[in-house]
Amino acid sequence: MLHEIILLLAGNTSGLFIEKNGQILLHPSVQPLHPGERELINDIVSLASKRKRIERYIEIFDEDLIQQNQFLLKALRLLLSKKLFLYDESLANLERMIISSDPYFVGSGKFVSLAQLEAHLADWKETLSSLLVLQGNISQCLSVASTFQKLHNMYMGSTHLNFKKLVLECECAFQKTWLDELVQYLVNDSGDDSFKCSFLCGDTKDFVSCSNNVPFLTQDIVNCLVSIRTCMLNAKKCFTDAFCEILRCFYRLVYEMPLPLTKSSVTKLADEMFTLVSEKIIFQLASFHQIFDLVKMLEMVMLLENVEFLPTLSEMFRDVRGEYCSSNDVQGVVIDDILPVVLRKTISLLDLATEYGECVSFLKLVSIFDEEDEMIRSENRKIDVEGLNMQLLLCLKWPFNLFMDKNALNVYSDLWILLGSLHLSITKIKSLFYERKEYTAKGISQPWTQLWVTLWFLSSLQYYAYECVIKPSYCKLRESLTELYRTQKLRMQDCSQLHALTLTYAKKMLFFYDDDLHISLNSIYHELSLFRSQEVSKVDCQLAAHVSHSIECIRQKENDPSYDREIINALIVQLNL
Amino acid sequence: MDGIMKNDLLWFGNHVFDLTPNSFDSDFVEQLSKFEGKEGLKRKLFDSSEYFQNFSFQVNDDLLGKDVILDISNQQLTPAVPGCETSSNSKLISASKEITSERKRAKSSVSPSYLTDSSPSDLSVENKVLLTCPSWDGENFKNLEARSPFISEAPSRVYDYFLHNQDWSPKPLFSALQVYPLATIFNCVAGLPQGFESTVFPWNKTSSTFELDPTISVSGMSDECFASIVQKFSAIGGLIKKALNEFSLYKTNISFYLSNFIVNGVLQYRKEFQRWLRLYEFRRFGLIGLSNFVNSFSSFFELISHFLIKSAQNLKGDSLLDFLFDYARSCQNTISYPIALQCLIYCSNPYFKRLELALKVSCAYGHIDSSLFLSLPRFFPSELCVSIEQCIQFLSLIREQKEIFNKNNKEFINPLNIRFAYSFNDINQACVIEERCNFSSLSFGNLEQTSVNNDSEEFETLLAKMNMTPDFNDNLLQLKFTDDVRNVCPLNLNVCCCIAEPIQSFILSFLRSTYKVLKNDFQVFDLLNFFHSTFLFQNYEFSDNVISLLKSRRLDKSDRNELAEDLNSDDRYNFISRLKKFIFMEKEKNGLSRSLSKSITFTLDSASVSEFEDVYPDLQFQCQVIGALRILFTDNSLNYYSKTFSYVLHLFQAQSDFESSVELKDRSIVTKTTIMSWSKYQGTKESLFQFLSIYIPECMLPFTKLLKSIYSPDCPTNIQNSAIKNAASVHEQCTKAIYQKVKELFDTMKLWESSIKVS
Repeated sequence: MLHEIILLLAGNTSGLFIEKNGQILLHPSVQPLHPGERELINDIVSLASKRKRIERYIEIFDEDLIQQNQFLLKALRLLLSKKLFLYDESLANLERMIISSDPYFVGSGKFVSLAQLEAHLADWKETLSSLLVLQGNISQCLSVASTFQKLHNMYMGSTHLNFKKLVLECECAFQKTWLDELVQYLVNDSGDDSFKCSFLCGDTKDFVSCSNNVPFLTQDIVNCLVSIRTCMLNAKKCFTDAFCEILRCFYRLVYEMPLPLTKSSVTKLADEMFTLVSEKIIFQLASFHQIFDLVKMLEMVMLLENVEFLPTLSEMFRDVRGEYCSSNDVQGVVIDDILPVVLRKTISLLDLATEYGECVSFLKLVSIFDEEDEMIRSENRKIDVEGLNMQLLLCLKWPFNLFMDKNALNVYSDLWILLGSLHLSITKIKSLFYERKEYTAKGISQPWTQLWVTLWFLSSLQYYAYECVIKPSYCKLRESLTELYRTQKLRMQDCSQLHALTLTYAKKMLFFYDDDLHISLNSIYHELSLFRSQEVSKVDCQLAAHVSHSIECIRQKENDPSYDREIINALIVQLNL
Repeated sequence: MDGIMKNDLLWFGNHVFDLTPNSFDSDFVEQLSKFEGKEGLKRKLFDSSEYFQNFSFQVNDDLLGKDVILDISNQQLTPAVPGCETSSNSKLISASKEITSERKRAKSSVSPSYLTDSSPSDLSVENKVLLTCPSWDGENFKNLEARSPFISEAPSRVYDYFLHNQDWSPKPLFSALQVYPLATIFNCVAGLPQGFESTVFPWNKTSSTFELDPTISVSGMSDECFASIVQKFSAIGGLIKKALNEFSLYKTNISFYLSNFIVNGVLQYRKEFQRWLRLYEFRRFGLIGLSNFVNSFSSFFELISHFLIKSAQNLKGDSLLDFLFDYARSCQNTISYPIALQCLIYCSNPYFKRLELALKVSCAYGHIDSSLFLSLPRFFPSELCVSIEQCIQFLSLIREQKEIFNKNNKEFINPLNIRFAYSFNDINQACVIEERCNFSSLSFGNLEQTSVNNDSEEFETLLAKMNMTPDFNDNLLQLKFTDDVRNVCPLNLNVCCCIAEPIQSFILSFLRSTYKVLKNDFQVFDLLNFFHSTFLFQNYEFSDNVISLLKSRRLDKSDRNELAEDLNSDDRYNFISRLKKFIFMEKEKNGLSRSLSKSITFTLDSASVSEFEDVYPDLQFQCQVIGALRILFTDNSLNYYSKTFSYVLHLFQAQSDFESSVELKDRSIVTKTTIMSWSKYQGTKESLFQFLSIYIPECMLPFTKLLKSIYSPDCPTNIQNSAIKNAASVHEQCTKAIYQKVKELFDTMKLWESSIKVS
């Protein structure tokens, strides 16, 4: 009867056993057995019922099920069938040992007992139950992140070593599949994108706000992977050679990944992938020289180190608007039409195209009309050119957008406004001084001393901004980029990191976060706007007060360790004079 | 008794088991008849049957010699006659006569149902011997005293006590002669998953299944258990049998390779099976081992059943490749992937070879088998399909000039090494995969030697050769039925690196050669210069000539009859011939060779366009190019050139009209019209100047830049790929922009003209 039992364990049916509530038991009609014997046999054949349950799960697996973790369930199925195959092998081995009277198993007595059989299969009894637990737990999960989370919890929660091993094995198998799927995702644009993205980050389709990530992923890695994908998809069209080479490298990298995955190893993987991509694709399209030009343009135009830019822009604006107004009546409609013309004319007049190459095409001039938009952004930050609130935006196209993220673009726009207003105010005060004679002739007296103090303050601030902060830091940035290029170690992530560092430094040193200072600066600008149109009495003029308040604000930074103390001190000393 | 055992017939009372290959003979003959005329496959089947023969004899020997003796311990029979152990296969075969005579004797002594003179006592002894289980826990019999209190541990004969009917009425112990030891019918069971028919499991042709005799029970096993095993095996056996039936019928090219793959796969599976049976001697394994072994081929069975279902839908050659690809894709990350990929590789290689050959022949002789390029498989990237079609189109254009084509045809022949790779090492290593298709007779070198005379007939035969008549000697490499999925190249990578990349590089080098030919033999740059100077008036000398011609025309006209509406035909002829002279001068100047001028034709004629009707001269200057020049100079762009020429001519005319209207007027009387004419003249002159000297060069810049970059040696190969393809469309865009601009100018000029007329 041993043969029958083993055959039953191997997944065959038997006439001596019946299935009752999912349990396989010896048929009650088999009479002459001892109750103990019956018990023992039932105990052994419990394996058969477990096997059956696993087998059924494998068979009814729905290929067409659309579920985020579908590919993981497929991997689970593969794992289960592999385990079952091993189990069958061990049964076949057992059968062989009995038939061939293997002396190690059968012994000299050439006799196999039920107890021996039971002992031989004890390991499998445990393994099959563990597999069932695993399968039951995983099939409850609906998303990739929750599946990995569940596995992690199961691993941590169990005290059983063998179970832990099994969970780890499963986790590794899943991670392998995940990596394969990742490579597929990185190079294919077919299929539902948001669905695909979900295997990178949790349940939500939104990348940014998602906290429930796959355990070995961080937001940085996800961002990096998404940019790699963009590059690969773009490269697919024009760089077939490079694309294929990179793809091969990707597979190599993925296959060499040590399992189980950790955050650091995946970070390393993403980093290596990005290095490859930046070397083979990004710098082919956005050469180092173009990036260098871009940095230069950022410094000169966006941060207005080029002093001619803003005056030329406003002049052009006046001209073009004049032209348009003569032919068109409705002013509001034309503004958006004329701004590109204004920018184009300014660029050609200043010959920025020869200086900064193609990068100038990334610039875009827009007007701020929407009040809501203004509220969202800082309401104090606007630049008034000829009575119009305009803003210079950067619209980087791929692959230049890898150089900086959206936030950085916004920061540049804000800094443009900040430095632009400063610049315009200084010009205005200067022009007031130039026209002093005229005013005196007309008998209008202005609070000249206060104006003088304001001019001195603003000029010091401007000098500080350009000579102490922007120029040195961007110079350093360009130098380090050149150094990287020279040593053949140019990588896009390094470039963007260097740039981000510089930008953060500049932002901080330009008191970007100090709203107090900005309010008082804005008050100064506001006060100044009252000039020229009317007489400002000495009593009403609050310029001096605002200036001293601003200086006070700057002075507070003196002992703030987050600022570059040397430079701040220099400014304060200058202001104390 | 020994004689019976050693021979191919086993007698159990009224049941006869035929375990020799003879029992499969009918099966073989039937299979062989299907491969009638396909000698290679037939031979292979015979090869396989040889294994079977060897095996069966050995098993018989084993079974009947040792087992029986081991099992008769309870009966206390004397061991076998000494001769049994020495009787080997060879002996059996060589001494066939002896055996037959022995068999006759045996039959006469044993079988009661066949030979009446047998003694009953003989029969009972034999039954007892044979009905005990020789292999399965037969050893337990040696212990005369049971060691265990458990009945279930007792040997199989004891177990038979538990055997019961379906209604649990106990089966009469040993009363039924149908209860056999497993070992006796194991051979038949082992034949089942290989698709071999036997007397125990006959093949039912009507239902296409193996049948199990319900009266057969196996000792030591319940009926249900035996039935479930047999059911599993017979399903596989049925599949194999069906596959052999089905796939021997295919005729089309790719389906042939699929059927060849499957038939060969089945043969390899059978070989493996026989090897396995020999490797583990009969007694060393049981049913579980057997079923495990069979299970390890499950991915192959899956493939067979998949295509058996598909074949019912009557697939055609091309879609079959797609089906194969889809199947491989659906198998990714499962154990079925390796075999699916092997199938895809095997079936696609001849197709790729054929494609390559077709491209080579097309490039070498200009005979284009367009049917092959129009129905490319779906997994080819669609843009590449378009590119290939474009290449073929280019090729047919170049072919129009035979001398040039013949001179350069070697340039176009580039290797196209596309084939799917199995493992990572195979990627882009064209030589790794053995050449499976025999191309020696039609390899390219030979084609060259036979020097095809460009006769269409001969080409037909060439194409017929290219169909690559299936060759049954074409040997399939050893299949890897089970392989780790991780070793196998993913399909994604395969399509990118093994399909897209080579095709792309082929297209690229083809296009490069095309452009080289365009430059060297078709003098594209010279032609372009000529077009620029004539159609677009970029040559000042030419435009000055034309203007002066127009002016003199105006003077002639005013001299004769200022109001003459109709044009004198002589006058027109004169004008046209003079203009033509200028054009020919330009042509010579630009160094357009005489050979090239054959492919370009100019016509200078009256315009049929309605907007020119009231304006003089109603001339249309048209150019037509033939052959490869059409690659860059499409009909559309030529049309734009021609229209631009007419408009510019009109603008010149208008300019000179305004001018003359100012000049002719009496200078002393300055009328309003004169002033207007004067300003219009200035306006036209200026805008024309701007248009000719600034706008046109600027507009043509993208195209000229593109052409230069194509021919510059240091341009990266990849980026240009799309640019090379799109050069013609860029050209079209540029000319269109110029045409639109000149039309705009013309419209304004017309407005002015009418305003002058009104005033």
